[in-house]
Amino acid sequence: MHVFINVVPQTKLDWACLSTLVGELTSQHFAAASINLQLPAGQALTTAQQQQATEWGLTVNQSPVTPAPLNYVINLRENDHILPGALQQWAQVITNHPGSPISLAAFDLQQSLDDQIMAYVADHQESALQQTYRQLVTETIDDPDERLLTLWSLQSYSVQTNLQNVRLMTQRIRPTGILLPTELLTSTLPLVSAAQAFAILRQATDIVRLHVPTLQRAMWAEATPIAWLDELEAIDPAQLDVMWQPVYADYFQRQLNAILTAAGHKQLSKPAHTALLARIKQLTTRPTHHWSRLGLLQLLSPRVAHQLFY
Amino acid sequence: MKFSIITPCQPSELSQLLELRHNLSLQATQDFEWVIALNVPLDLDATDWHLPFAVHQVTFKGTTVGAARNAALQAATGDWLVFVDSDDYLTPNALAEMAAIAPLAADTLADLYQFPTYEPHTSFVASQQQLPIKDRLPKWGGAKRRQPKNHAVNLNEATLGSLTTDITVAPATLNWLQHKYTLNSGDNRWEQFNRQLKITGKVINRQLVQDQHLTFDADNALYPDYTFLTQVMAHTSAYLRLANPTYIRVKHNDPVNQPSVHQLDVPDRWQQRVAAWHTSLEAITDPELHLAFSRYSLYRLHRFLYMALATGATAESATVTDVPGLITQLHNFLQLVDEEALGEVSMLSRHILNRIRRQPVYPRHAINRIVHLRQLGRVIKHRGRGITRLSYMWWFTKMPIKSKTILYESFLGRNFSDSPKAVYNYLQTTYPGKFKHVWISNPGVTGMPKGQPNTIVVKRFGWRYMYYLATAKFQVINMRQPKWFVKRPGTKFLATWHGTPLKHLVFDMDNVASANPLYKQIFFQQSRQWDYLVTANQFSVDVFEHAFMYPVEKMLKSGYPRNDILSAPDRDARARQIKEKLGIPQDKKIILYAPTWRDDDYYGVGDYKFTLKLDINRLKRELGDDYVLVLRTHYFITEHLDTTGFGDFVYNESSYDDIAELYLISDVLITDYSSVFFDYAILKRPILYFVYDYEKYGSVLRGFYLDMEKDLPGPLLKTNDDVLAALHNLPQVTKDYAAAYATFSQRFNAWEDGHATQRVVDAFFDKTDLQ
Repeated sequence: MHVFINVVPQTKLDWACLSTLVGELTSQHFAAASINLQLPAGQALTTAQQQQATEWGLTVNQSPVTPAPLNYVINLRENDHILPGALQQWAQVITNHPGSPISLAAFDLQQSLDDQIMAYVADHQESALQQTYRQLVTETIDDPDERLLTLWSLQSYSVQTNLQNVRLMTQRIRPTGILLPTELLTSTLPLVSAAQAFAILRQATDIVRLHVPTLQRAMWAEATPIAWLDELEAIDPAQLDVMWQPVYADYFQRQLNAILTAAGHKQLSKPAHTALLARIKQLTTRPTHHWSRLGLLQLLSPRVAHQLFY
Repeated sequence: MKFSIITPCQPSELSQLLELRHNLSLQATQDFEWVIALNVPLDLDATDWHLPFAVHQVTFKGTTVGAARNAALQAATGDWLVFVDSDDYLTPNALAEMAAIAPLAADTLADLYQFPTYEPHTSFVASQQQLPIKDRLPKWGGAKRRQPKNHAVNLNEATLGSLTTDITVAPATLNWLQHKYTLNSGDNRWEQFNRQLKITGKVINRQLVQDQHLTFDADNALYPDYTFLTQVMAHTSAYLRLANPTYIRVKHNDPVNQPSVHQLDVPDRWQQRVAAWHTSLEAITDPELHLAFSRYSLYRLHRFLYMALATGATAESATVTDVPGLITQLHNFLQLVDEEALGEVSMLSRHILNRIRRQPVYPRHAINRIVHLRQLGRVIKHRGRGITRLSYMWWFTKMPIKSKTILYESFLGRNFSDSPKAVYNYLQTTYPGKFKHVWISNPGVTGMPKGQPNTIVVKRFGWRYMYYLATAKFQVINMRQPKWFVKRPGTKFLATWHGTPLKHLVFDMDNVASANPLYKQIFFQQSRQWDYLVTANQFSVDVFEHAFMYPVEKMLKSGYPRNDILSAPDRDARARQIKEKLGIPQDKKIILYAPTWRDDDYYGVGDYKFTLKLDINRLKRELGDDYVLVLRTHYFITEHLDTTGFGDFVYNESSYDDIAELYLISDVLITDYSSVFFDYAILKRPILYFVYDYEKYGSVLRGFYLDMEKDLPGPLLKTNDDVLAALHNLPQVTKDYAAAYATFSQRFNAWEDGHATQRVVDAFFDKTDLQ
């Protein structure tokens, strides 16, 4: 078994973030993993950075390990975080159910990790496992390690065969944060792309979902709406099987709506937002739901829609 | 010795016992002994009984499971007793997981966590061998909503080592994180009560059983466990269940030939159940357990008793025979139950139970009312769906029978075809105006005999359908009638069936998990309602006798009415008419291609990757001048075939009503594993078998009644080259297979002389019916 961790910066590499991430990974002492940095085109490491990378055992711009049932690839942004024990938990799922893509639950990068863990534990206090765990430990969960143990007490996974469930596709199609089996990778598609994740989903017979978060990362649609739109546009629906075409069309519309909602949160500049609206308007095919943002955008000009949504 | 596995076994279950032996030998821990209670001798010295764990056999007095378990308890020496039935099996880590739990207090009722399935051990092992997956469980056989979806992750030491600070975690906690379980104690001790009351998969301290002298009820054949388990519950302070299922409980899908204890057709089942509850409840002194058990039993009465007692009940279990006896028993039992538990039962039900509690009288009307209200409630919940069926049950089946009405159904209303059509046409011609004919049709089906004299077409499951299903004296159906169909006295049911069997049917099928696990039982009940079963040949008679368990004397040895058209004197003239109707030039010969539908071509709802393996382009190129190709595929894939590129060479007639008419016009048949060739052989025209995936189909072929290598009247062809070569030289094929064809015809088509319909009609209808 081997996990190939491919770190891909969004634009310019943030070396401090990378240092943190590599620290989080190496501190897990997980032997069957290698870390690779895939630098964006035109960027290079300084000599000091190269030296540091060698010390970490970090490879640069390498391709993934050879395809085998137990070999997996995961793409990560350098500002993502890995929770302690994550690699071991992934390894356990891989051993139990090899060959299937593994979708990972994650906490959000924008909010405090501790708050999120507390909220998660509170949400699952009715769980029989947690109730039993609470009988065994009497302490409160103030300590970070206690919180971690409580999270682990809840850890579980499910094997899902409803691959065409549109609602769940959001957690199954992502360029980063999914464990991809190397055997199902399509060499003609970029390794870090929604198209690659989608191609794997289409080939798979089932997908495993690890329920308790082991990652902290940003949502693509919210953090980088334009990049997310690019990713979605890179998937050509005409090339899909008959069975996947309507599913993807539905998913695509939902994602456009999600982008419209996220882009309205004023992360984008005004001109960028208007340009995005114009692009989405052009992409939309009817029928859309009238009372969705997408439906409204069909009736309005991008400029008016910008006034309304921004 | 850590565990003693207790397995009661009947002599008829010996093969299951050997399967369990194989399964136990795969356990990750071998620190156990196996105590088998069985009254026929086992040769434990034989080499296949040399196992890495000790095996003991004990015999017992009587035949009950309770007596068997008691005898095994006496012989056990392990610290913990594990109850495993001979038809069930364990996942490899089951005992190791239980053994790893520390500490496991002696006053714990532990559970390996049952996982119900219809998949027997052999089939599960086969799938694991094909593709081993560690976390695989067999196909779920319980209620859909109860299916466990999540696998709890037991952490390993390395994960636990990645804690960032040096906190001290109690050893018990660390142990739990590595071997997760759920624990019910204190306030939630009696939650999951139903689960706690099932003996199989339970792990109980032997010392506790010995000290308290706990035994199973050896006199109650069906419910020996209640007394034992309630006492175990009374003497334990916690219920511990592994977080992941490890005990696979196999439910039997053939209750007719191989019923489990719970499926036995016993008329005093309710009496035995109430007797067991009574003894158990009487012995419970702990007030909380008393309340919990009262709740449990009252819920069961509320949920299941009324249906068994209601007038005209169609409950699957055997109906109650001695009602006054049961009521008296219930009256005595209800004196024991907690008032608090009784107060929690819904009002109508409480009213009934209170009446029985006060006096041992049978509140028939109240019970019928509650059953009817439940039926109505179900219809309302489904927003009116099922209202026609309810009307059928409540009213239509009480209306007078119409002695001159015949109801026909062909392929569940999908078309106007097959033997029912032949019977209909014959009656219309020979006995015009004698009967009212009712055809069942699905919405949107074309070609139904609407507008024909004395004929009406009704929508399947509609109001008129229900009315005629209940009141027509005669039913002519070629598949199965609905499960809820009521066979009324005075009505006659003709099952024409729809083909000579090629693949194993019903009781000849392996005991594998199918779409409906109770298929065999349902089929058995339905086929008992058939007055006659039409058979095409002696081969079918022999097969139906064991495959349907249907009495030979009720079979009509007539040949298939649908095939009369193939022997009719005017068949050539008819063929010309049909060709004209389909727009096929009269001077062209016809190849009929009828492949079977392959399960593995299907991959997901609504999608079929069916592709024709026959090289149509080449066929067109080489034979296009003389031939056209008529395609007849499974109706599932009809809509997915695109034949537009082949011009006037290909005619896709997959949705054509009557396949017999296609036989009539064709000059040669290409097929594979489909049973169409039995009928086609009546025409004595060449048949080719295009079996491109013959090797891959091996496992399926083992489930065939015919030997494809020896019994067929035509060649097995594996490539397009072979098919083309055969088509180019059909006279030679005919010559080569003349002897095989003659044997085949003698075996399968000896009765097909063009008068099958007449024979069927004469046998089915009395003379008075036809006057």
